[in-house]
Amino acid sequence: MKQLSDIASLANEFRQFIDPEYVIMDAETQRVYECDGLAAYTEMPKLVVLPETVEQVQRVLKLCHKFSVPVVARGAGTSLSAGATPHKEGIVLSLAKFNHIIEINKLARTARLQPGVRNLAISEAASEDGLYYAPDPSSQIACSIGGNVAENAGGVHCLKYGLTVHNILRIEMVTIEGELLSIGSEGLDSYGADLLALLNGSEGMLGVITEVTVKLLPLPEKAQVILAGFDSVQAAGDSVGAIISEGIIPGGLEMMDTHAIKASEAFANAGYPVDAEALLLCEVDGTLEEVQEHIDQVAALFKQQGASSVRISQSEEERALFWKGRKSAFPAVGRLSPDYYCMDGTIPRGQLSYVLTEINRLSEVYDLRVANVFHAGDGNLHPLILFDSSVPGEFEKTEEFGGKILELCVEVGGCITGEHGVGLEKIRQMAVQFNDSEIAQFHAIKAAFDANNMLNPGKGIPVLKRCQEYRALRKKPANEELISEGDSQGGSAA
Amino acid sequence: MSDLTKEFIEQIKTCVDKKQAIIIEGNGTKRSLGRDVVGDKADSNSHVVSCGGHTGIVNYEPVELVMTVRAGTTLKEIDDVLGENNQVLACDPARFDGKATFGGSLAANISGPGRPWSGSIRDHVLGVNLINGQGEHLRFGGKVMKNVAGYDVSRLQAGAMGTLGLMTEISFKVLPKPAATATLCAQATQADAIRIMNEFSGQPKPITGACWLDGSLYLRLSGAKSAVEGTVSQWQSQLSNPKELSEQDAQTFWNHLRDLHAEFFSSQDPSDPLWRFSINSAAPAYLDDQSWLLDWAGSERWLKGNFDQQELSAWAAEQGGEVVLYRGGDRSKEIIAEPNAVMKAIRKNIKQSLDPHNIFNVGRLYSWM
Repeated sequence: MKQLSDIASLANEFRQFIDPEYVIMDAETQRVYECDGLAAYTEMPKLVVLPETVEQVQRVLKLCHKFSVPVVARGAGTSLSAGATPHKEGIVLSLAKFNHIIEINKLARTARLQPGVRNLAISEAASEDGLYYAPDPSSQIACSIGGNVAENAGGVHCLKYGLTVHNILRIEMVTIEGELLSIGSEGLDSYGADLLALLNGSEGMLGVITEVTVKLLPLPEKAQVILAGFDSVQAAGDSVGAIISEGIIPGGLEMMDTHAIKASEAFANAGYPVDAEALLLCEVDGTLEEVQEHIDQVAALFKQQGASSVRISQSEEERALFWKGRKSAFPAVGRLSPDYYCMDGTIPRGQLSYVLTEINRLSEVYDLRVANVFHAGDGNLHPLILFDSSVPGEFEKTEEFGGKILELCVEVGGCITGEHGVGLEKIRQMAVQFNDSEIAQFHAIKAAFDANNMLNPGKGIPVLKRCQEYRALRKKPANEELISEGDSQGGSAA
Repeated sequence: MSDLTKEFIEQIKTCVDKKQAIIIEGNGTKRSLGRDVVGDKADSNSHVVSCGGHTGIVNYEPVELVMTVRAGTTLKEIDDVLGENNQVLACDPARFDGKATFGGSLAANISGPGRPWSGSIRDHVLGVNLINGQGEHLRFGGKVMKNVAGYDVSRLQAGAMGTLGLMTEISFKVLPKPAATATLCAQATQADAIRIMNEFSGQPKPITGACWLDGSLYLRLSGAKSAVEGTVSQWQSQLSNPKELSEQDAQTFWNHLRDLHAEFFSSQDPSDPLWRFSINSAAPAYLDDQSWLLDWAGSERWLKGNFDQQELSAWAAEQGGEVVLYRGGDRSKEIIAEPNAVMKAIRKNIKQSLDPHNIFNVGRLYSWM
C-alpha cells in the first residue's frame, strides 16, 4: 500500500463519505465475508465496505486505485468457485445495498436493475406484466444479477434460452480508476467489438458492475414435464440425442444418476424411480398446442428408447414436485455425507457415457463417492463428490479428484467450467485448457482494464509460472502427485 | 477446401517485421461497411490477407447441435450441409448472393430478421481460433454450449471488423429447422406498427419476425405446426386487413430483407447515405415523413438520405441506442458518434492487447484506432 500507513487510515477516508456503520473492520462482523458459496476457501479481508450510491463506489475505487489496495466486489456471495473469496491485503466491496429494481418496461420487455437485485426477484416483479427473466441458476432465490453477469451464470433452461450473456442488454460499471462506463445499449447490438460479451463472465476482474439492463421474455402459456427412468446412463443419453434429432428443443433437460436419484427422492419425495440407473426430466414449454404436440412426441420417444418408466406432470403442482427433486439435489446429496464438493465441467453430450464411466473409476481410485447431476441438454456436468472435511487430508484428496474430472472434460473436447466460473477453485486447471500464449493474452486483456491488477487479483487467470509447474506435475504418475499450493495470494484451501 | 492457417501466420509475421498494415478480407461482400481502411486497396502499402480460400467444415455433429468451420466457409455451404440434417443457422446472417462467409458475418456481427427471438450470430458462437497481431494462433471458447473459462474473446470478435485478429476457425450452435412457418401482412402506420410489434413480442407466441415498411406490417411465426396455425388465426382477428403470404412470397420477402436486397435498399444508389439505428424497440416514430424500414420489432431501423449525423445520434442516444452511417456517404470521417474518453481508452487498450503493432484493419471502425 502506497502512502497510507495502515488500513485504519483507508477506513477513515471511506468514513468521510460512507455511513461509518458500513465500513467494517471488526473481525466478528467481517466473518460472514470470509468465503462465498464454496466455503472450503476462506480468507479475511482488511476491510469490508458497503457503499450505497454509484458515486460512493467510484470514490472507493479511486482511493483503492490511488493506494494500490486490491478490491473484491461481492454480490450475494453465492459463487461456487471461490470467485468472491476476499484478498488478505484488500477490501471487499459489497453491492448488497444496491437492491432496487429501477424500472420494468413492459412494452420493450426490459428491466433496469441495481446489481444486488436477486435473480428470482426479477421474475417475480416482471410476472405482473406476464414476463420473466430466463436464466435461472439453482441459487436464484439468493444470487444477485450483478454476480450473474460477473459469472455468466447459467441454469436449467440454457439450451433454449441461453446463458446470462444472451439475456443482458446493457451494463453500467465503474473502472478501477473510478470512472463510470456504460457498455451495450437498449438496442440489441452496439457498434464495435462486443465489450458486453467480454464483461459477462469476467469474474469481477475488469470492473465493478453498478447497473444491469436485462431482457424479459413472455411467460410461456404452458410448461409440462416428463419424468423418465432408464436402466442405463447410455439409454438416457441416447434419448437426449433422439429428442434433439426430432427437432425439439426442450425448455429444460436434466439427467441424474442413480446416487443422485436416491438422495433426491429421500429428500423431496417427488416420486422418482429409485431403482433406475438414470433419470431424465424433460420440460417442454410454449403455446398450449405446441406443448401438447411435443409432450406426446417426447413420451413416445422415451418409450421407444426403452424407458423403464414414463410420467407426465398433470398439474402445476406436480410439475413443481418433479422439479423439486432436481432443484434440491445438492442439499439432498449433502445429507449422505458431512460435506460435498460440486464440480462444473462441460462435455460434448456424446461423451457422457465414457465420462461417467471414468468418473466412477476415479471414484474407486480415490475411495470417494460421487453423485452426478447433469444439464443434459447443454452438456454441463455437475459431479458431486462426497467427503468429510474433518478427516485430515480428505478435502485435498477431493480437490485432486475434482481436478481430474475437469481434466477429463477437457480431454474429451469440453471445458473446465460451464457456469460456475474459475475463481480460485479451478485456476490450476486453466493450464490444462489453455496454453501459455492464450493465458498471456488473457492477462493482456485484463491489463487493458486494470493495468495494476487490483480488481479481484489471483482469480480467474493463473500466473504463467504456476501453469508450467502444474503441467509438469501432471506428467508424474498419479501416486506421486502432490497437492499443489493455492495459486493465489487471495485464499487458501482449508 | 483447404487450411491456410500456416500461410496466414507467415504473412502476419512478415507484415509485423515490415511494419506493414493488413487488410483482412473474405469474399469481399462487406467492403461497403465500416470506414475506409487506412491504406485502402489502392494503397500498395497495405497487404491484403485473403481468407476466401480458407474454407471447409471441420466438424459437424448434428446431435450435438454444433458445427466448426474455417472462417472463409460460405454460409451457403453451411446451409446446404445443415439442410441435409433438417437444421438451420438460426442467427440467419445476410447471404449476399451466396458469397458471405461465416468469418465475415461474425466480424461484422450480422444477423437476420429473426435476431430478437432466435439470437444473433454472436449469441450462437461457441469458440474462435484466431491469429493475434503477434502471429500467435490461439484458441478461445470451445465446442460446447457452456464455457466460462477465461474471458470471452470469441464473442468479443463480433463487430470488431477484423481489428483484433484474424479468425481461422469458428464453432457455433445450430438449431433444428422449425416445423412450420407462416407470415402475416397487415396495414399499419409506423406508430401503430411499433406498438403492435412490441405488444405481440410480449405474448408467448412463436414470433420470429416483425418488420414494417411502406405502411405494411409483416409478422413471421415459426415453430410447431399447431402453435403457428393457432397464432395465425388469433392474430388475424387483431390486425387491419390481414392476409397470409404464400410460402414462396414469404420466403422471398424475408430473404430480401435479410440480404438488404429489398426494394427499400436496392432502389438506393449505394454511395448515398444509409443509416442504421440500434435502439429501444419501443422508441417512438421519428422523422416519419422520411423513408424508413423498421426491423427487429422496431429495435433495428433503417433510414435513407442525407441527414445531420449529430442530430440523428442525439435522437438515437435518447432512445437508449446509437446510429451508424451503415453504407454510402463520407466514409473517411467517423461513421458513429464519438465515444467518451474512458470508452475510447479501453477500446484502444483492448486493440493494443490483441494487436500490439497496430496492423489489422487499421481505421476500419474509428479514425483513432
